[in-house]
Amino acid sequence: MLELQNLNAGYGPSQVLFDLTMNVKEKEIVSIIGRNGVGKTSTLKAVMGLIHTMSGSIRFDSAEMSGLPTYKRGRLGIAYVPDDRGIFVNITTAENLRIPLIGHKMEGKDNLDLAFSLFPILKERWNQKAGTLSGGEQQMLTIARGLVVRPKLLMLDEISEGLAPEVIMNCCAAFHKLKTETSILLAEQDVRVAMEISDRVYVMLNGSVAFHGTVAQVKEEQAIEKFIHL
Amino acid sequence: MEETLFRKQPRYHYVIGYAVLAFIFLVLPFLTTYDVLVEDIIIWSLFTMGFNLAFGFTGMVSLGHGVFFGVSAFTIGILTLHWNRSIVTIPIGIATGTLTGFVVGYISLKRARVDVHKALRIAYLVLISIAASYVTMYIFLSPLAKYSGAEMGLLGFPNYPMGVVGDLKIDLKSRTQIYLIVGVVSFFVIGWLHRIASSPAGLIMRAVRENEIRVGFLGYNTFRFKLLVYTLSGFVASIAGALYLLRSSFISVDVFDFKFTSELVVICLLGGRNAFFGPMVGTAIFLILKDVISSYTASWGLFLALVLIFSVLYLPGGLGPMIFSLPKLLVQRWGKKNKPALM
Repeated sequence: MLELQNLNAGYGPSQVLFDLTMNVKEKEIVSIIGRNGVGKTSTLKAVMGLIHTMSGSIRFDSAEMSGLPTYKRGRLGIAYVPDDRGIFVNITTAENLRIPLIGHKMEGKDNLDLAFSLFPILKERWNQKAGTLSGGEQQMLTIARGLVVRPKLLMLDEISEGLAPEVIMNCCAAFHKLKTETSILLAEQDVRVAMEISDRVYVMLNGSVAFHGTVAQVKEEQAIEKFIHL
Repeated sequence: MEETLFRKQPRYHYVIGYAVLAFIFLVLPFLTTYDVLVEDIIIWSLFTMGFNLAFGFTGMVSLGHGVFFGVSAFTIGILTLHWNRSIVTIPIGIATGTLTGFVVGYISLKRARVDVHKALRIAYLVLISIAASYVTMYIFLSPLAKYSGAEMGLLGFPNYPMGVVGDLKIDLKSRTQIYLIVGVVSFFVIGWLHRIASSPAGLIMRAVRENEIRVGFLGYNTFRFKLLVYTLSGFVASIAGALYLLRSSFISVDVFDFKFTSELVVICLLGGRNAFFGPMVGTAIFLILKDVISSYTASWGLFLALVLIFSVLYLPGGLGPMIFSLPKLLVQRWGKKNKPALM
């Protein structure tokens, strides 16, 4: 479904991704793990078109995407949940969830029910300005905003950040349920969370993939010890 | 379910609001001897509310709206004097003003794509709109001086009737006719803008102001959206320009100066740029202050500056929302006094 082939990308002249090759198949949860600054977030940003692609290809549903502007990638069915709690603080929770629905010309009810079953607290905060939500609630809102449009691919950046362990476990359970229609690409620093929910794992080092395989393979090869706890 | 999830504002607010608006726009000018001031407030309200869709709602700081106002008014004036004395010139003028808005918007927004830093994006728009204001100013001062009257302003805009169809004519000297036209047009355009601002589009405008990149990855073409809003506000500015010309029979190149448009920024800040009707309150306060104070002293700008500083420091939301929430506060106070048992 998503294929990155020999991708070189960076911010202006400084390159951060080197010859990156990665793929996410349908009905699959894939995690990218690695230390700070190895390019996990940059990989997601490159898929979304937020950083400049120098060479290589990004294909989604076997269509080349590397020249497309961000909004077109969004319309293809990629939802991106950034790590900086990308909510709109001056409008209400309800309006935050309404914006993606309008853009995808979708009805709200079923999709919102999904978000509510995941994060019941959002229903209580429904008509409250999103800026007054707590950090964890904002994080939930960000994830919910990605989910309501039923994307084909959901990219999450650091979901474990700011969420209580039980909420993370709820999310993981929900992602397993979602797998039937949505693939998930997760950039995660918390290795335990990543190993818990993923089918496959990419270990990144210095802007490229150092190791990849299923969770069992990662354990077997002791990749985490090799590439993360150096 | 949908209805309760995304709840709408109660309807009676709208009815009362529109009734008050209709009274001010259509009846008040005939009741008071300050009719010129009221007319000014109406036209300027329309102008600033259109401007505020771009400035307050979408976060595009532009100093070029005087250009669209002026281009529209000058086009109508010049065409009427030299070509055709009927109202066909009005749509042509408004179209020209809107087109100018589109071109200025396109140039400045095209360069300021989302990968440019936010502060720079705003600077591009400000600088290019200032450039546009000087370009048009010199076009109307020099090559078009013969038609525009240069520094003197456009004189001799017909004081005799403008033809509509057949024998039907607008009498530009008739106070009644002009005030009705200004009132009706402004009422409907402001109503239309209010519909837009309270629709999903209004929501997206506010989201774009907050973070354009995020709106982009939710699937919106923010460039096209911003250009649309900018052109829309240019269109409203052009209508205001046309009404101004009909009302005053005069227009001068001063409107092209970006200082003229920067007054709109002041008005929006004064009245509250986040509230739809804020700019209208701002306009009323601004013009009344100007009228009252400038009859005593020439330095009325000093008083305005003091009011502005006060409102920025103590009422960052502007005076508009405060005035609108006053009745609610009073009702709450009154309710508390009468129902102490509940507290």
